[in-house]
Amino acid sequence: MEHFLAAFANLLTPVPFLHVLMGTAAGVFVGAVPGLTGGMLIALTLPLTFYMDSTLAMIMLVGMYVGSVAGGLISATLLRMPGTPSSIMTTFDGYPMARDGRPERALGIGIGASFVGGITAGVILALLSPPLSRWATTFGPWEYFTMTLMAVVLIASLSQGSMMKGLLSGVLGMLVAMPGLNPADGQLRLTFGFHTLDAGFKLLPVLLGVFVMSQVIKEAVNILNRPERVTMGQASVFLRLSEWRRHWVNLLRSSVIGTFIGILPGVGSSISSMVCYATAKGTSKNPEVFGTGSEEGIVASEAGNNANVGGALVPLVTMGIPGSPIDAILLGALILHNLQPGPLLFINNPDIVWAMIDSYLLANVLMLIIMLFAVRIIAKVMYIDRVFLLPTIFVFCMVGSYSLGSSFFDAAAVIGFGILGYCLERAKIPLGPFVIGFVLAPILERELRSGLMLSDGSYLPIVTRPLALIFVSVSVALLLYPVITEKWRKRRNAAKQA
Amino acid sequence: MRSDRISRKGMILAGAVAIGLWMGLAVPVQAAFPEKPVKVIVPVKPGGTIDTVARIFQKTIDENKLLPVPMAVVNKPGAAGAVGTRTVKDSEPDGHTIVIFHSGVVTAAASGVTDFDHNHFEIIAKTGEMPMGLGTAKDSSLNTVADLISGAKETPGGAFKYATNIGLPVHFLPLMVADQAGIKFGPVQAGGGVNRLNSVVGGHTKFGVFSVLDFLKYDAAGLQPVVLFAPERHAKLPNVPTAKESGYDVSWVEMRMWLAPKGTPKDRVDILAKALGDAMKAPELLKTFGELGMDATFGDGDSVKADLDDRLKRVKHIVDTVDVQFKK
Repeated sequence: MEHFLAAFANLLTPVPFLHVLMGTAAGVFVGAVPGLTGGMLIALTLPLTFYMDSTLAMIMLVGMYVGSVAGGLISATLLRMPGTPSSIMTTFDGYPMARDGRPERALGIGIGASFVGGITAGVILALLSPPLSRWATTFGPWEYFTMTLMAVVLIASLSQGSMMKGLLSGVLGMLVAMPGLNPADGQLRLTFGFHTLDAGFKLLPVLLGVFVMSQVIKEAVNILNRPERVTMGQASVFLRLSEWRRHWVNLLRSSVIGTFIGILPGVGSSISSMVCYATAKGTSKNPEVFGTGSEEGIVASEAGNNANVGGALVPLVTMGIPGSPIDAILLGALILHNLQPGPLLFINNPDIVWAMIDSYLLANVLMLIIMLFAVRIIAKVMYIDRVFLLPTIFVFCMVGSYSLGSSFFDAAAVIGFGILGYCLERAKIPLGPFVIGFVLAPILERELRSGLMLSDGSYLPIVTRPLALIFVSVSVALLLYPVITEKWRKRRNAAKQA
Repeated sequence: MRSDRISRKGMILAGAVAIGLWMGLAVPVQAAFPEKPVKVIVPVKPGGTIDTVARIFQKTIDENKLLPVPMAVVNKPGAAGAVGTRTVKDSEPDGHTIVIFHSGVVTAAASGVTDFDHNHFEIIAKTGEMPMGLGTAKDSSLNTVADLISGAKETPGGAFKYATNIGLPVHFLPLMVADQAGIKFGPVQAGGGVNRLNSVVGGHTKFGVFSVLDFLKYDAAGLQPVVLFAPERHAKLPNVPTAKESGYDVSWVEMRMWLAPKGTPKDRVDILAKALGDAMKAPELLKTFGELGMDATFGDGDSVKADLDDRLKRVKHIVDTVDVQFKK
């Protein structure tokens, strides 16, 4: 508690406050511009923070994360185009409402829901993280190995599209993580004698390639597409508190579901908002309105995706395991700033951890203010011409990746991974699992090899250690679930026909 | 016409004289060293101790004009330092590209990660030392080296585990102790300092190797020093015995050293060494060293080479006799 308050007092001093504000504002704007995503912004900002104070860097990045997920709501509502992938569900009801002449109300509801989702998740984050990190210090290599395994399966099976494609993407990401120095025995592998590969593919070039360059290519290819848009009228985006009364159950439920889905390692905000949307629809009295401009739909989607951000920070700060693809970038940021992620982060760097948690709460408040008061301005400037945007982003990608290790190989890798990412997206293979696979493969390998060194080569601890057994069972169940339900459905269909 | 021709001839002559003079002047100027910024490769990420040390030297040397040219620090991280050190090894041996690193250059060579060791460089100097030692969890019953040895005797065959970062000095030091005690410790890969801390404090392994700075920093996290591999006790940890006091002849003081490509002229190496040595007298540099828990010891190239030769021999002995992992 004293850490919590001390960090908050520090956040309210001018310099840290400005960093959170800057991050949140940039996040909201980038989130709103179609084609620019939060992952892009954070990956591009990362190299700029190399020589910044670590705390300032982290709180700014957290602000960007919060802002970008919330900002996606604006373009989802006015353009039927999610500004960030996590706002897909909002387009289903936000755009119809806007088209029917109620864009202000749709935005107002979305903004309020985002805020409630964010704050709920922030409270859970602050309450849950300290005990969880204490518990996590007792985790050994086997617990980490099986938990990471579960994360990989989870993201593959929950990602958009087919599970096979999710798994494929995750495995591809893992393969990319293979070349270089093998952490477990200190030997080089799969470098084919090229010393530029001694360090393997570094995180930043892969992130910039997959998250940023692939989008640049995609936008450049579709440069002539212009979305339909709805312009905002004069009505207010401010809703009276009494108007929220009929939404509060949905608000709270979506916020809590969103947070806990966020805590599951590896799962991003898009999935959260989908689950919340489906739950709201399933329990609603008017499920038929969903998809045609339902306020409940907007509430569920926006509370869900914003709550996810806070939830996803839980495994990041307590165990060093990314809760979502964007958290993989934050994990990289911690490492770049020489802060070793893991359960001891709370003991060794309490100031940083609490600054991150508090900046998350602060960013949600700032997001609410920025969105409520600047939504009209953002709605105007988000149509910024991509002709000017794309070359600038391209240059930032090149400079950012080169600055990491003064190596042209890294810059070339960005372009390579950009092309790969673009091709994968064209083939409807999701990119989230790719990044998660890339980040988790070294953790998986390291923990497994450590575990085997501890047990002198025996795999038995996977079933003899209770937590490890639970994690593995969940993974297996997740893998088998779609197969079994498919079988049941076939059997039922066969029974019906007979 | 005539006057024209003369003047042209005169101009050619004057030009030739001028060029001759310029060349005459230029030759000694070119021989002066350094003539362009000295690039310091840091083979780790920005922010680590080596990076901090490199940057404080850069700042001190630039501010006090200890070299006529600026120093430029460039990070080339990767493969436990092998990427950056290799770049410098393969650079032009003119003294304008140098690298700062630690004794990992010896262990990486001995364990086969790199195909080069310190003999493939000209050693400029060492600037700063930090003793290493064994640490256990405070809540464990392991308080002395003798406790570790008897523990290993009770659970023989390498079942007594320690947290390590394979291929680096922290991997070999316990094996040296075990070699002398005639017992076996089992290495478990954990990674950098905090990961080893987590493994030891979390009770997954019995002990690990840490630096003096680690011991001071992670006291609150529950880490206790058991023994230091230093010639004498450390001022900041006066109660911790040295390995020699505990009956084991193992010494490994980690150092920050500067290397230039093989074939760099001796006089240039000396100019760089002098600049580094002078920088170590600056109060702001000594202050940073204090914060990093490093002893501000300076050593010239020859003494460092003898030291590294000895370390390479000791690590090779372990690789050949004890640790079978690296045998190909």
